[in-house]
Amino acid sequence: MLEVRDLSKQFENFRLGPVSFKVDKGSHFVLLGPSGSGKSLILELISGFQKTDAGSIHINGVDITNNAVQKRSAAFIFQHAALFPHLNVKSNIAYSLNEMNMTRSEKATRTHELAARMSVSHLLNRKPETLSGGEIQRVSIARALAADPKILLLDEPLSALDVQMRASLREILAQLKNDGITMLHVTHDYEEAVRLADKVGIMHDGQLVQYGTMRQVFQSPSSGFVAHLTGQRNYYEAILDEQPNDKLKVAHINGIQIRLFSNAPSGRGLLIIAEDQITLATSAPTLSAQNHLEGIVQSINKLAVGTEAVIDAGVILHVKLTDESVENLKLFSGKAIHVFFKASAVRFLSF
Amino acid sequence: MGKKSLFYYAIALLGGLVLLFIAAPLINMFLASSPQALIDTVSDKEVSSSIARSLVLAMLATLFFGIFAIPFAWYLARYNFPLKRFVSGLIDVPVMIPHSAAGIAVLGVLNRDTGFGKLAGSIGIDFVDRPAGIIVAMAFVSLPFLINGARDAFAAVPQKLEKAALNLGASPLRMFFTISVPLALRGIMSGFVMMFARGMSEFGAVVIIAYNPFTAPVLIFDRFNAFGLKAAQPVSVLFILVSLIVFIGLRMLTKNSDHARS
Repeated sequence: MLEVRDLSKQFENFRLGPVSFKVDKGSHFVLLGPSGSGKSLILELISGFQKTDAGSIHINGVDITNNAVQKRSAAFIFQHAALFPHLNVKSNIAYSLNEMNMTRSEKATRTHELAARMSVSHLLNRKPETLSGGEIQRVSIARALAADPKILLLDEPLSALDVQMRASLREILAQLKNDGITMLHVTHDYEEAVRLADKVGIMHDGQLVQYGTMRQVFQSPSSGFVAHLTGQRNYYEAILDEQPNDKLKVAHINGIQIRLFSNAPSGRGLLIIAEDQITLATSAPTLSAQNHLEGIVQSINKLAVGTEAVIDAGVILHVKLTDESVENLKLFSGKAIHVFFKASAVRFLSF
Repeated sequence: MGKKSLFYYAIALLGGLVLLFIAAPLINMFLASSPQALIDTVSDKEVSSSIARSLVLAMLATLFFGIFAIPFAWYLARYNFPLKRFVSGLIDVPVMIPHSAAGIAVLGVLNRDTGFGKLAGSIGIDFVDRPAGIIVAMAFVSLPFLINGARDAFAAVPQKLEKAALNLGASPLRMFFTISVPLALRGIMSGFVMMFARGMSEFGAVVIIAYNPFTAPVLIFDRFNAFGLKAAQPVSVLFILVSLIVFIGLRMLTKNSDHARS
């Protein structure tokens, strides 16, 4: 669908690329990286706001590298949505429709359809300055969809929103994915990537340092940088049980029960166990921890600071330990070990 | 606290002197013009037609040259190019040079002996002692006010709004008229009013190119030259009053157009 080949851009103090990746039709591709890594620049190059120095950009096999901005069919959603302040919501949504060969009634119908889809029908006569952050982003997405783009380019769309609005907009993005909208999404927030991405690309210093499915990148980071950025490797697809009126819930991974605190609704999601909040013991003492698993040490890896033990307890667990703990526990590969962690060390992110 | 108070008193005194400096000649002129003299001036056809000519020609100069100046101002606000600082400086030159010199410069290009003058003459346009010449002279000295005002207004429009319009499929022309101009309208209108005001009151450049037909400033000079101070004062008072009414009207229109889009 979208293919970026050896894209590069040189500035006085920064060089992007060469960067290559593909975004499949109907998929949600997330470029994840810290500020200044060049991920937003990639969106600007694809949208034509910046000219490329080298490389090419293809949409559905057509080279659009040198096309004018208005002839790329790649709709850009800005971090701080760029709604036109002098136009009301209806005119904002309908802006691109004036470029199309449509009758007035067709335009009105399309505008109302999109407004309904983004739940902003009640705001059509309002000016952008009177809208909340979440409403602004929903209008912004409706306006982008009106142009009937081949791909949505999302530049940190959730970062300017509060927690509640984020959740609501995340649902909308998930719905767009279900509707088959292709999205290239830039963020520095790994949770956003975890929740939404089919594939993720990790950006660092202008380079795409890793690129693959969420599982490949999060569970097998190719470098210390990727591991640090994603933060977690104890990351599993899980199913959360329905337990109304009870904050202590149970999630299932490969037949293993994990107890956790969560307000998330029951169903599929991602479960993350903090590496530095797992306790190992050679026997089974009585502890307040809600989760107790038995496993085998698979490997022990020396880190720059401390040690990492990889435990197979039905699920693969990465555990951070001090060197002193490794010595006291007399850890070695193949040793049987008890694993404990509190319910509060577990997080569940709904799909 | 006492020292601070003294400081504020000093500022008030200095400010008052500045205001007095501006207001005293105007007040004196108003007081020196008797009501009868003003009534006679209003019914003086030469005076009323010169004031009307000043207003109409200044408006035409503003509208005609605005067609060129507004897109150019947008370009100046949005793009960097070689010699941009020189170009910006060049735009300000007409404001800084003596206006009689500006008139001489314009006449040097527009007179009937130059290539441009002959070319214009061949299609029936004559500038010397003609309204067309007055329009050019007014525009030459007042255009910087419009270009600079509009440029600053365009620069204040967030560029990402223009990018968003293009990204939504708008042509650059549609983007300009539906996003850039409406959002910069207040500054553009302010520039229009400034250019109009400056053009309408222009004497130095206009008198070089067209002593006749009289614009109001040239008529004031002519009355002063021929009949002295007393004869020039009522014409000046009337011209100032008409100018004030027009400016207040235009400012209110500008303000209303700004409210209308917010």
